[in-house]
Amino acid sequence: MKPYRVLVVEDQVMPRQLFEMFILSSEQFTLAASIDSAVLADVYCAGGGIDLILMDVVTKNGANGLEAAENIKQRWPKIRIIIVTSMPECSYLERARKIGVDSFWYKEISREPILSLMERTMAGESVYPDAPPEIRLGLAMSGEFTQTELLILRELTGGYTDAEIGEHLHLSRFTVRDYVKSMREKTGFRSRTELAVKARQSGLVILEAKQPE
Amino acid sequence: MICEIPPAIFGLLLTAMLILCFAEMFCVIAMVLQHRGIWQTISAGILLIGGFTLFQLTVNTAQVPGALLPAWSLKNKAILYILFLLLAGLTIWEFFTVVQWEKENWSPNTVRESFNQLPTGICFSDLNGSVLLSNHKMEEICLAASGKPLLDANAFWDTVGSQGFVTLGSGVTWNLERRILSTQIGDVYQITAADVTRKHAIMQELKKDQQQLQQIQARLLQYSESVTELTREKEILAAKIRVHDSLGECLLAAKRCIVTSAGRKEKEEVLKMWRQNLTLLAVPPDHEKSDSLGELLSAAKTVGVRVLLTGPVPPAGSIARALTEAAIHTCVTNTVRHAHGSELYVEMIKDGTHWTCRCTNNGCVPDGPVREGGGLTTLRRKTEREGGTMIVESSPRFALTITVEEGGLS
Amino acid sequence: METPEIKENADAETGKSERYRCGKIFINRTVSRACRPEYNNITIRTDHKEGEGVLHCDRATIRANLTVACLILLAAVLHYTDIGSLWGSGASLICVGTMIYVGLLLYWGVTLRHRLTNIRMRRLLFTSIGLMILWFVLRSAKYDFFGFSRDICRQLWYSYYIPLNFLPTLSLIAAWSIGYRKHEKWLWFLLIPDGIFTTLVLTNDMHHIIFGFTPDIPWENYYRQLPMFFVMTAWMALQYLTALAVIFHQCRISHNRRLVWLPVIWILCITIFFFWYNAFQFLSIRKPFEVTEAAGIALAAAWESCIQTGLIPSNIGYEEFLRASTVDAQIVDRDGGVRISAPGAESLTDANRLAARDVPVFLSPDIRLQSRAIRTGRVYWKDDLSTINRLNQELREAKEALSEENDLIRGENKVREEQTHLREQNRIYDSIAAAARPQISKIRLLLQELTPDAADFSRRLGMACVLNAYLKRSSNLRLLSRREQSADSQELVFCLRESLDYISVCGVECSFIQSGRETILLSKLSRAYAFFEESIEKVLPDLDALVVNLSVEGDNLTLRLMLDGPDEMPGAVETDGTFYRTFQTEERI
Repeated sequence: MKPYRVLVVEDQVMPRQLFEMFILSSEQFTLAASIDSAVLADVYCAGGGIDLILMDVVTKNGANGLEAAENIKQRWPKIRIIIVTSMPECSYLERARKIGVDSFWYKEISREPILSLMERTMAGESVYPDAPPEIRLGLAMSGEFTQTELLILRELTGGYTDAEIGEHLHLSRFTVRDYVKSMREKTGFRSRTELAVKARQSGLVILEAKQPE
Repeated sequence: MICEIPPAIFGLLLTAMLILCFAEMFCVIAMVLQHRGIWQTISAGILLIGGFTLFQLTVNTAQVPGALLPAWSLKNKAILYILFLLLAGLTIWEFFTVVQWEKENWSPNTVRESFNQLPTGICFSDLNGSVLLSNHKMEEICLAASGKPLLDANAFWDTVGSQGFVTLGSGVTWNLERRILSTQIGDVYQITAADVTRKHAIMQELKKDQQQLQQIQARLLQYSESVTELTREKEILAAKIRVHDSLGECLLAAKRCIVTSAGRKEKEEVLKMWRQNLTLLAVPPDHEKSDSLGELLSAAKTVGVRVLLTGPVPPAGSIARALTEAAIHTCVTNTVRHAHGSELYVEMIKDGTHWTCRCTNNGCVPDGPVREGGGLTTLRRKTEREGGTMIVESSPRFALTITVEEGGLS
Repeated sequence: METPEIKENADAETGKSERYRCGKIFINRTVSRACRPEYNNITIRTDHKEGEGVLHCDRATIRANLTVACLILLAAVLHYTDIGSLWGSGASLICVGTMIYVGLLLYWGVTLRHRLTNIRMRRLLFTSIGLMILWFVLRSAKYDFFGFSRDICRQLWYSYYIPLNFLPTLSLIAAWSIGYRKHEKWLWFLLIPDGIFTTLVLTNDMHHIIFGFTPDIPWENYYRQLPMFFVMTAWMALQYLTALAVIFHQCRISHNRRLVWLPVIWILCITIFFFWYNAFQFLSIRKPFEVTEAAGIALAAAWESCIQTGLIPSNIGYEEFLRASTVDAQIVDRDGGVRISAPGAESLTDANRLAARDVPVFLSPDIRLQSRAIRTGRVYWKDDLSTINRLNQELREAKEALSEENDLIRGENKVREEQTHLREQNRIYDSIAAAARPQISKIRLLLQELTPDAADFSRRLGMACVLNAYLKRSSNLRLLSRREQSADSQELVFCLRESLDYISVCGVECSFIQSGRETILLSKLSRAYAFFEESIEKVLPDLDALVVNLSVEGDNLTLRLMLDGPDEMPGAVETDGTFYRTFQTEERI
């Protein structure tokens, strides 16, 4: 059986080298290309020589791996994609599922070796962690926040006012204010700015740059 | 006893009676217009009739044929005088009650007085601008703002009111609004002036604070990027430390291998681990900046498309450069997927700060007009957002032309 | 009738709006009462052409005008007939017509009190009415009360010129007062000529410069009007014409110019009447109006038409304005009964009003109710504070957010600190990796193509271990040197021991002796270790035995190596096939 052709999209050299070594050491896989920016992923896919992509989320020049994955899945649904990240950002998992990404792997945390995951994915399995890693934020754990709170927290790290957040999320500013208050109480932070700063520091939420329509 | 009334006195008496009748008439008219009680009005009417009757009787007494002057008995004269004085007294009393009532009771001017108490300026005018009612505040505002009295409301609105806000020399800011009201007597303009000095001051302060907040927002976003960068560096360092630490593991494994005369599999594992670590140790630091266009061309080459670029290249970081790369990117994928070509020709033309990028390929000619799919649509949106133009030609062969200013819309 | 759309886009923020145009004269219209409609893009049902005037004529006014006209007609008819003769008693009713005219003047005066807003104008017109009534009284006195004395009658006739002289001046001052124009004090000086002329007339019997009489002919049958009379008349006429011109000029609203003909007509009528007055006399036809009546009608009609055409502002419709206004005000009389209310204030209750009598109260967080006393009761109004409350809230939030800047600063500082630290760490590791390149190459060379089945697998692996051990230990020393300048000499002992450990795995007999233990500069330790490694690497494949002697004293150390096995060793002292190398920190090797 011909080995599967793998495209590695990883902006950091060491992990990228590591992936390359794993692939080279495996008989089931062969390295098609190794790039550092998700922007170019579709070019390689267009060439028709890719079966599996190991895609980092945050790649060079801010190119978003999830967006590239969505684009590729729409145009070449047969290509399997494994999202590889070390960011504990809570929305990545769900977004990856929504896009139709085949598997998800946390670099530092997942116990399963990447090669094994790649084999299972090519065998047709979809391997996802149960939940994003739990992170401590002040006095609370990330699991204690509701979906809406996380959405608002993400916007908060962008420095937006309650009114602006309400506009982005179609909520009233009073609702936003109440949620922020609730999160401050949970975490024990004394101000919303401290909440925003610490939330971003923890990596629990990452606000992507808004692309104008 | 017959007494003669001197003619002059009689004349004066008649004049006084006439004036009294006028006064009584005034009281009746005033009471009717004041909508006083029916009995009050009737009593005034009775006074009027009485006074008028007395007047007529007195006049006609003087007109009795043959009598040049009235010659009355003392009793009649006394009655005449008493009646006259009584009527005069009652009329004077009534006159004062009318005047007093007028001061203390309702009149349409009460509305004006009420408007004068309001803190807002208000002015009603007909649709031609004739002022129908205005309060003192509005008159003051008009005088202070335009230097003229409030005569023509339309002129006032056109010169002062249409600005919406006017700040007077005293520092007070007024917000002027005009509306049309439908009333029982017709359509009128209502101009109101509300004191928004405090509101204005708060808005100024809020604007200042919001500018500062915007700066903080920018800093928060910057902070977010710094954290991303920091996380990257942490990961890189962690990886280096890991590799460094694994040297120790390699040593132990190797020692074990030698000392215990390990089997082949173990020996292979040790070799593999060691070789991997050495490779990672030998990796140069990833600080070098790479050229995105170069990478794109390299990627194109990998998928079998040679990109032939002629002409100058827009400077890195410019909008024109970003759009050029996006255009090449889209054309490369389309050349592979649809045109099945192997070469992409990119012609760059610079005219001042105006850039034109034209892409063609050596692949198949389109069957018909090119339908803009996801890639071309996204490219068009990006181009037009920056104030550029994009033209897609289908015949004689596919060509994509993008023109844009170097800095885009900004 | 056209019903054009009104092109009004009243924007509360910018206050911009357009005037509507085109249509017919707006005459009379009753529309349903507006109840706070939104006034953008509304349609009006009647319209008028720009440039044409507006007559403020509602039904009541037209009714009043017609009634007045009928009464005047009645008075004119009565002037022709003798009422007393109707019942043939010989008695007659006198002054009925006078009563009608004076009654109309009084009625007009009372309505002016309510309608006119300009106090000066009001006083001037009241004075004019007073003078007119005086004229009627003088006339009745002359003809009906003092008929017995020709001299008194003549004096009464002279007295006619009191109102005749002063009325034009008062009219001129009143015309000037239209529109609240600043009052010019010099206007009052115009009364001086009036006073002079009046005095001349009243004292005519003394000087005969106004009227001349013929001694044998009764004065009431024939008198001459002397030049001074014409001067006086010209002065009166000049004032009347000036008043007219001022009215015309005061009409600042261009579209009312065309309705100026209304008051003008009345003035023309009286002028014509004066010319025809004599004609009536010559024709021996009984006139419908005497001069007094004609003057009274003309005066009242002229001013009334100024009011009705809007030249003089009046308070027609004040109550309606409040009822339709968007200002939330309510007028209450002394007994607390609501007289008029704007739509927005209709919901006020007695309790609300009682509470707001003396101090402002809040009906809701955004609505404040206040009141003030007026002559005939109180006025209440609501202030909408929602915008200002919202702005205050936003300002509070903004200030709060600004006050949290310190948290951001702390975060930024922390990130900066960490970044600096990380960069430093990364640089260290990169420098370690760079320094380790020679060893890495050597290890790679050793392991290159090494297979588990190779005969010299253990030897080569062992040698790789020695190099690797040196790599590891020297890196550690380097890392340590970033934190400390000096370290315990035991660090070197550990390095040497580990290296010896792996050297012995390669089949070399090793021995290690140490003496002394001090804290020494890390750079010295690193150099000593590097010396050791450099010495061993060259000869490791041939090495049979190795003795390492480390002695540490003070800040210095001496490292002696005794090697057996190699055939030669550059830089070492040889004695009987055994090589000696020494490293001392204070001397060069």
